[in-house]
Amino acid sequence: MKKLFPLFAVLTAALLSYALYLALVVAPTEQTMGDVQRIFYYHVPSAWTAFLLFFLNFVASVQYLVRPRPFADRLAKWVAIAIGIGACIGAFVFPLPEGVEPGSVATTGLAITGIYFLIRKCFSEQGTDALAVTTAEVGVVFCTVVLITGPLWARPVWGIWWTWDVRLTSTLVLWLIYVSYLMLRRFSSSGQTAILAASLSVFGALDVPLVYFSIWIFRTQHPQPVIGGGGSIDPRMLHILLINWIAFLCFAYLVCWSRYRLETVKREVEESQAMQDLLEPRGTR
Amino acid sequence: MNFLYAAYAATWIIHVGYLTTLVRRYSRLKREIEELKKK
Repeated sequence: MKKLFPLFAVLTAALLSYALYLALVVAPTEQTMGDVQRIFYYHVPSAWTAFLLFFLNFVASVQYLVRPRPFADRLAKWVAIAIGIGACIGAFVFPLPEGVEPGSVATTGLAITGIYFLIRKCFSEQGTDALAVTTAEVGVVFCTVVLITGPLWARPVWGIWWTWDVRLTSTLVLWLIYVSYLMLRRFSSSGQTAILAASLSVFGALDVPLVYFSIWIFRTQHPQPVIGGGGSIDPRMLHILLINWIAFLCFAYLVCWSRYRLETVKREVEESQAMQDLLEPRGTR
Repeated sequence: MNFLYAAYAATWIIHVGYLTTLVRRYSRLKREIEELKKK
């Protein structure tokens, strides 16, 4: 990856530029909101990317907690398998809310199982902890973008910057949870910090489905979902939205890769410093 | 249009700001590695 990084960075920059051009120039103008609706092409992909990163943080934290305990590890593995199988069967057997496709439920279930086993295979126990810090930090950055672009879109459309409805409030709570997670990691010097942070992350992740499904369950000022859930969107807009999301996913991957490398090198340096301090004879410091 | 440009600008200011902090942390770490090598 180190050798491919510059090439991937150039490709991502090109894709982001193309996505920006599509969003500002090619995308059709929305009839009621006008040009300000184009904020959508940055707001929604940033929200989806933040959710994905928080989900990765959740899986990494669960694995960090269960890996040293063989029974919990086996149990978590079977729960991940059960989620995949349950989603595939349940999607076609049980009635789903209006607008929800059984195929998308089954795919989401299988993706959860796939991500769980991918992280399990690719990361060591310490690696999962480093991954958790990385995804939380980058997730907070994307969530900040959502919380800034949202009010900038709301002001001209709703006439207000902010309203305390379920979607907006739960997103703010999600941001606060992960900011506290990062503060815990930054300022706690206890040997149990990683375990405490992982536990906080598991509870924090419970807010992600609440944020996502809040507009399906509650009456909110926030618009309905653009994919499924009764909302509708022009196919050209959807196409441009997905290109923007792919561009932001590539960008998030690059940032996460850099942050993960920084974290692993930092840990190596800390270990070397500790070793050096141990090896130095007393009284030389 | 002003809100649209403000939103796009804010997005990139946040991302570039975060990337800047990453670069600064990298350079600090590099300095620490150099100091460790010297010892």
